[in-house]
Amino acid sequence: MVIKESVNHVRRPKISEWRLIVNIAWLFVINSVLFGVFYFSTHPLTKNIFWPNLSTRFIVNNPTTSFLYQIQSRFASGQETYYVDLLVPFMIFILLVVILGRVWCGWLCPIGFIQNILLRIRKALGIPYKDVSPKATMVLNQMGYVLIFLIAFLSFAVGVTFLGMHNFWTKSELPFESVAPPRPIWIFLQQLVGLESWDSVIPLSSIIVAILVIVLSFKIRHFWCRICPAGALMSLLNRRALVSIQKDGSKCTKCRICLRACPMDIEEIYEEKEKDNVTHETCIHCYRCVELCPEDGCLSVTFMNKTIATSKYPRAPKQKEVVG
Amino acid sequence: MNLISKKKGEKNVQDEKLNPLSSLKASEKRYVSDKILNNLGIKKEQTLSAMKKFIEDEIKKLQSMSQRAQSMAYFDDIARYFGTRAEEVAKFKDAGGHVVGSLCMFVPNEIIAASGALPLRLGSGFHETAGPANVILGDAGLCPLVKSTLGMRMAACSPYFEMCDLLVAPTPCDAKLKLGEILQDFVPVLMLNLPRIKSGAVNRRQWAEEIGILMDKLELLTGKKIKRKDMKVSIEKYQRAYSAYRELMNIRREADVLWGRDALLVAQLSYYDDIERWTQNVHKLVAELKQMKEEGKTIISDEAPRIMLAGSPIIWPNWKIPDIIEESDALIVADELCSATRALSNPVVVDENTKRGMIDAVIERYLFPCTCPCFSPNLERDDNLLNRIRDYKVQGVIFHVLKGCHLNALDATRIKGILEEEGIPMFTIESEYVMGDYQQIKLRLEAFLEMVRAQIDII
Ligand code: SF4
Ligand code: SF4
Ligand code: SF4
Ligand code: SF4
Ligand code: SF4
Repeated sequence: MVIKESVNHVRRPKISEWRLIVNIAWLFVINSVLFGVFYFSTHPLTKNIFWPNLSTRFIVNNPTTSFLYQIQSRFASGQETYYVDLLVPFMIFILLVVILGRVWCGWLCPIGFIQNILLRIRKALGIPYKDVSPKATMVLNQMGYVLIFLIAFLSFAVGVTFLGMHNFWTKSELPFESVAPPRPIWIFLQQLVGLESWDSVIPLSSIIVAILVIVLSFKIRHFWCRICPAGALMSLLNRRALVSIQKDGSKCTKCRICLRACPMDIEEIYEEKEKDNVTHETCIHCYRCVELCPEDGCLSVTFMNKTIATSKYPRAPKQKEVVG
Repeated sequence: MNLISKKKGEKNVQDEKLNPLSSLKASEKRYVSDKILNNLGIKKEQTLSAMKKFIEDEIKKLQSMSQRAQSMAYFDDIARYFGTRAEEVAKFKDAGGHVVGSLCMFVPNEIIAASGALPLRLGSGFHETAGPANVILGDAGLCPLVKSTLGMRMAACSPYFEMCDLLVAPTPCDAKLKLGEILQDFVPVLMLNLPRIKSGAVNRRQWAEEIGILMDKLELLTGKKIKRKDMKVSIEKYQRAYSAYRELMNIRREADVLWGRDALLVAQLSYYDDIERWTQNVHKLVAELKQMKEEGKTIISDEAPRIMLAGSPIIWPNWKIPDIIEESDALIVADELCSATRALSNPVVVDENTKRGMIDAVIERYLFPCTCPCFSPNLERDDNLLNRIRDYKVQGVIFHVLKGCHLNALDATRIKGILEEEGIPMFTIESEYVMGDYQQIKLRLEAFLEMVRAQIDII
């Protein structure tokens, strides 16, 4: 006997699926990494586009770079300009992050995307992730700031000629670009599809880092995002962004589902009972927490106080029809 | 299963040798020797027939409620403790199945079901069996639920208890702690050391370890490993059950079509019914209630006070308090009992469908969102109550405290203060299992309900 279930399934926000779609679309259309829209990289209007998230200069037809690259290249290009040319990129960076917060991370960053894919592959293979203790999480997060400091300092040193650092780094090999993981990853992918020739040079250091990042991000959820300097820069403004995660503390049962679902291991999301805005600095706005929180209206995503998605009691999984 | 990494050579908290249960045999009798048991002279047949009569009387009462949903007939049938369901379980057991009983809401049914064993929640609502336990315990002030459950086993009156291969006993309160210990005289018992301060990672690890031991024992019992697929199937089965019950709650929120006593019964039968069949029948009931709602039928007049029942568990067939409330022309629109809604309201939500991910989801579900008074602090219980009061337009709260349950008595004190601020009248009623206090409780509850009525009239 098959009884029709009376559940009027409220559709849960399928945030993870949307995130994947946006990630892919942005990657192809805007970052145009794999297929390379030629127009983008040559047209004067588009060839200098940069985003707050991590990216790399060294990809065929990839017009977009990271704000991090802007800092490096301006610093490294020398002290003659007194660094005023940093001002405009800086304002643009602040504007972009204030509007979208670290949505740049969860939804638009190509490296965030790769980690998302690695996570999904691991999940599909049924391999559990490695837990990161709260302490380690904190330490990793702080590494991001250390990296920013190192990047800024080294680029600055390269630019100041009397220090003699520029002898070690040629202009095209900015400090962070020689270790940043996106470069080898995307060049390799482009080589696979035949966009890039197999003899293009990639610094060995960045290949090693990239392999490490891939292996670690496979086992540890969003490992690179925990130490990413671009992410660390954005985290300074993350709480003040127009996009935020809001919580109705009175509805929270402290069930820890959101914490378990959070790829960045953010404890505050479940612990907070008083404050409404629970967007943490390190939150990459993936909204997995909102997707899985089982209390109606407990967690919501808002943009300029308008609710975009909100948590709902889960739908029951469909029953397979019993034969016989 | 080893859920957290251990140093080499480190043993489980409950070391195999220290734990006589590892062999899954009952230990030597420490509390209730055969001699004591014989001296007690328990009249099993008489007790049994008294219990059966108790159930039949209660079912008759329920059947006489006005406008009662037809689909409740199924649940009445399962409610006959010694009836068809007991036979089914016996058949399952004869066919080589394993039966695992549990003594509180903290035991993950999902995991027991995944191992292939049949989970049964055992807790007794019979006052008839409290007597024999009273004699040997020497503590008349102990919680009657615990006394009755122990007596049930001593008198060998519960078909389910008799069939248990293993009993899982969490330790939320003193009474349950000792209940588990004493029951070891009769059945193999696995005690689960429940952390009572939910402060996060440390307790989580402790609880995970306890559940890990439970999984080991289950695998030992059934002789088969719990696989990823088993977990998935079993979790989804219970997710469907929870979601069906949720539907039932939703319809109660929208219209007065279901008696509170029926709702309590439905929830409680999930304890020992076949969970899939139970789910289907809840769906049937919901469909019928929806029909009633569309036809504009209600079971009680609009003026009836809307009451929420909270506090200590109320276990079938001990329907004394709900009977008194609803027979005084009030409607129980919601409850916060661990024996009913609270046991069915927090779903297991799985993030990653790996075996670890699923086990983690279950482990956390059976600790963190629980608002049992055995936890400290237990502030979520206050929020939970207030939300329910708002959602179900509750006009008065009756907080039931089983005599001897300090935890609920103290929570009642705190909650009363909070509700007073919100202007919601609350009444704490202490009760025993025996019927001796019936008239007194009736008088006091009626007085409270009068007060609530007067307050509604003013508004
Ligand atoms: S933190 Fe992660 S997602 Fe954000 S910019 Fe860095 S790599 Fe990209
Ligand atoms: S998932 Fe929702 S209810 Fe659970 S702790 Fe997080 S915010 Fe609270
Ligand atoms: S807090 Fe929520 S949105 Fe932010 S990273 Fe964690 S799961 Fe994603
Ligand atoms: S109040 Fe807590 S300890 Fe007592 S029966 Fe309910 S869940 Fe168990
Ligand atoms: S009702 Fe109270 S005393 Fe009795 S078992 Fe439950 S928590 Fe313990």
